[in-house]
Amino acid sequence: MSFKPTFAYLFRKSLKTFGLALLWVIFVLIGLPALIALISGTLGSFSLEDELSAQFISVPLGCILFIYFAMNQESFNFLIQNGVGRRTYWLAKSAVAGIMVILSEVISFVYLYGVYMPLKVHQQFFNGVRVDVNGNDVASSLLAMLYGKFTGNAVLDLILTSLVVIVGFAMLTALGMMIGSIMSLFSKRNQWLILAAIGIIAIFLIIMLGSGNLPAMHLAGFMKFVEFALGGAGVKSMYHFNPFIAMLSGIIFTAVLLYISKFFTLKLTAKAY
Amino acid sequence: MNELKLTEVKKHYGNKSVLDGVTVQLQPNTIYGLLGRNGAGKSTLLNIVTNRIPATAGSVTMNDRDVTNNDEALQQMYLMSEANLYNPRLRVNEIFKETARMYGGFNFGLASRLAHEFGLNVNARNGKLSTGYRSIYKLIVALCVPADYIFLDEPTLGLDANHRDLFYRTLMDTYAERPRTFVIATHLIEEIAHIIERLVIIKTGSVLVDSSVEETLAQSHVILGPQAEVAAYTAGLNVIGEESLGQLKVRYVYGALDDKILPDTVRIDGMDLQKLFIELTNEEGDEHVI
Repeated sequence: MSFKPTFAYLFRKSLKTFGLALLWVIFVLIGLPALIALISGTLGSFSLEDELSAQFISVPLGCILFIYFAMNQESFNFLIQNGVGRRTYWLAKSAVAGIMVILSEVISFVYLYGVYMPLKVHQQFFNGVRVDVNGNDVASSLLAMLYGKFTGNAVLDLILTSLVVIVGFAMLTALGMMIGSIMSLFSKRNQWLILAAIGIIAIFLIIMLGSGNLPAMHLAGFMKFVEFALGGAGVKSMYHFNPFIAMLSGIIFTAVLLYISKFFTLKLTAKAY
Repeated sequence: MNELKLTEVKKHYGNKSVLDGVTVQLQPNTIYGLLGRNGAGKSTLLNIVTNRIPATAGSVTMNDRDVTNNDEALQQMYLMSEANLYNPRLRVNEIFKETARMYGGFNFGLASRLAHEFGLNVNARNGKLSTGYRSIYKLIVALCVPADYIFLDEPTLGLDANHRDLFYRTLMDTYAERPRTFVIATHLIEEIAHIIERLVIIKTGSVLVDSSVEETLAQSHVILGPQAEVAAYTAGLNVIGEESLGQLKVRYVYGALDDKILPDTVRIDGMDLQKLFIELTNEEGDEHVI
């Protein structure tokens, strides 16, 4: 079994790609506005605080996890050339994905509590909720607004929220892996055609949703399911969603998505550059 | 040494059959020539053996274990082919290092010497290399990996005569130093005729010949003489081709010659591998019985 060298290869590649992608995110979200301010002569009014948001790191990291782990061909080509089978590739990729998911949450956590909160919130509280200088509600993350006060113990709630974030990242990553493994079975031309078709269907659905033409019963049922999966069934206020239900639902979804991704990964074929 | 066996391997793309029941057992420490015309299925077969693509039916086993997604077996094989599976941004020396990590060994000394002899810039990116140098770095990898089965699909693509000569010499040197099985799929039959020990000829997806070069050539005859005498002598033999030159006739026979008395005017010569291949795989005329 070539698990160890395969894992090492994929992990090195992931670290490099994530590092580069994060640098790009920082450049686009901070560097670019600063550069524009410098060029336009408004650098004096440029404020780092204004550029930052709670989701500044977590949302891009979620996107990177989804996109990066949806990609297969480059790594698979290299590994099959070097005598590594599809099963080992999938196992090693899943293990690397798991580590990158945890690492992503660590980075998000450090950013939120090491950079964002001290800069933005100035430790103001209103009715027990963190607020920014303008008095607006500032949860440490979107999920903190759902699970932030489930137990009432600040440290425990912080840990539980982080665990939900990790499961959320894992689900997103597994979704990427599943979609990527299916897409990899098609030629590049057909992949573009499928993406275009999905885009058109998505626009159509959004229009339907906007115009209220979607059967209300279906939509309500779906929303109810989402609420239940997020641990919000029967919960009357924000901050009190049940993180354990959310984690359990997330783990089940992730397992199903990983199983499907494995099924299709075992059907991958080498495609030359 | 591991034993690699292909049993009734078939490959279909839609309604098109590329391989139609290939059965071959690759012997250890032997240099094979895998010959076939364009589209015969050589590359498809090598891709199936090394698990790059799945077979429609049949099996490839190493020591009686299926090689599909079997790392232990796959790590005993390396396929060098025209298809570029390395990232174009990778540098040649990075490819050497990554290969060493994956295979758990690599002859860096030999790789360095060969890179120097071939004039290969190991700091160049894979995507920036010419076709010839892309073949060269892949050949170097193939010769330096610690695998028991090395498959070379059109190994000399884009190589000039000097580099081809250097490659064949190096192949023989490394083979003498560390015997393993090489399977060379090529159209340059004359160039490999003197180095291969066994021959596998594929015609329209099926194995036509699978035997040692010596045995194959011993059964290949050129019968030359006046038309009538040659026709009479070869009647009932496995004639795989013929040519006429005025009153003279040449017939190519594959298989045993009968105990007929050879007329004084008729001569029997041996056939070279390339001529044998051409006559055996010629699309014109009848199917030959092997």
